[in-house]
Amino acid sequence: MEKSESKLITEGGRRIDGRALDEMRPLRIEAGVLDKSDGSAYIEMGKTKIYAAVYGPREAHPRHLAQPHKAILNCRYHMASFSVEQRKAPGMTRREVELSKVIREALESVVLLEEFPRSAIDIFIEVIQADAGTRTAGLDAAAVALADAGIPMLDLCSAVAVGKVEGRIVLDPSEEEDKRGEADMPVGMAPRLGSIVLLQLNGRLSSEEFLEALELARKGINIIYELQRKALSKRFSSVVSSQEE
Amino acid sequence: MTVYVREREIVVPGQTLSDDSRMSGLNTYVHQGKVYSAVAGIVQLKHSLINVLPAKSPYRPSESDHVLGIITDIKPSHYEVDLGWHLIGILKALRRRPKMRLHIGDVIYTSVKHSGIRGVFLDSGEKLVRVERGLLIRVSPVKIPRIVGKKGSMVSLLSNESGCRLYVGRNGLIAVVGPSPEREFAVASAIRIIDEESHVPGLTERVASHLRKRVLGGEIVGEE
Repeated sequence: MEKSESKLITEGGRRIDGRALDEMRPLRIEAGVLDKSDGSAYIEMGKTKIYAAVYGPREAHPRHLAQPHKAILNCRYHMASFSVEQRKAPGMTRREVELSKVIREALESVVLLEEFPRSAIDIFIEVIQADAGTRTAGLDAAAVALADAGIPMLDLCSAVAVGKVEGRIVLDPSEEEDKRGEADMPVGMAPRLGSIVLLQLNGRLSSEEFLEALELARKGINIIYELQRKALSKRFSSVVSSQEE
Repeated sequence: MTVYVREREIVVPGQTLSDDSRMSGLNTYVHQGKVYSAVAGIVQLKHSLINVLPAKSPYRPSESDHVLGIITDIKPSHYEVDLGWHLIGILKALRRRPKMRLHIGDVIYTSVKHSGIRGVFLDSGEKLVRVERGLLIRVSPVKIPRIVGKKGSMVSLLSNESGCRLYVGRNGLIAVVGPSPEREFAVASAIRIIDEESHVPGLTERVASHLRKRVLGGEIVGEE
């Protein structure tokens, strides 16, 4: 008995949630949301909700990990046990360890770690609700949190996923599209420098499709970058005139 | 030679500031001949340089900064001093101050002699002061210029109105030493006002009236 599944893309080029192929889910970014951290950010991308907190620079622990010429970056991407439909065990899974690593490596390429020798910068990314695109949204939030903490960086980091669904390249796939689609490709960039800091691909894309997907990701990244900038300006507009000597 | 930003504009890391690499000032960097911001903050155009003043920042030590620190460890040749944040200062043994004995937990006020890859070295000479008692307050290091005021105007206002002595460290630690706890707390609350409302105009006025009210009120409570 085969259940006929509804089509993911209609004849008119609309997706199941009514979006166009190159349209992102509703997006909201806020900076400075957590009191006790040195820098923090919150991102909402459709139903995906993520907090990022930055602590430091502070003493590296265990101490032998400290580098004499630069800071070390620690990153923990974690999904809350209530973030998915079926309760997730609260410990770090293999997937979370891997995502922590790719996000850390993406951020290491923009943060000026040489400014803080012998110290550590800790980043915590907590997924409160997961609905596809958490690693990219987590990276977006982490970059804003780092800038909010006043840590010098070459550039912000913006990331978005692109997917292939029923033969069409779509921007920012939802959970449903991710599960039933043919490919999913998270892309992270330093938008001003134009360099790619994160790129993963699940599934298959032809080289033409890959280029098309990358171009579409760039479009999404520009939208996210603008929102990240706005979140930071909004955060700091109240302190603008406090700096007179 | 184009400048893309206005004075006091808010910028974010990676934002292009200018095409002229010679204009690279504080918290900026040059990449392929262009000047970019390295932090989130506001633009200051000064002496044909573009500086970005961070809205929030960890303390970055530079030579001759006055700092407050807490002794955390005593080693055979030096003391280790917690400067708040990620920094541990190194204070050489006090050869020139034979009378001074420092213990773990003591608060000292001194200046940075040298800061580099090998650590932050503090001055152990004549300028070193041990703060014997008082109130230790921690604020964000970027607010310190505001607490000091133009040519020290805010600090002298705080100390004149309250009768307390202030040790202001560039690293964000402030010690208030006064004749009574009430007066010390009055200064602490005034500093809190500067910290939180430094962007609202008429700050000096409000700080002065707040202090007068608190100092007078505090003394009345003290007498009862």
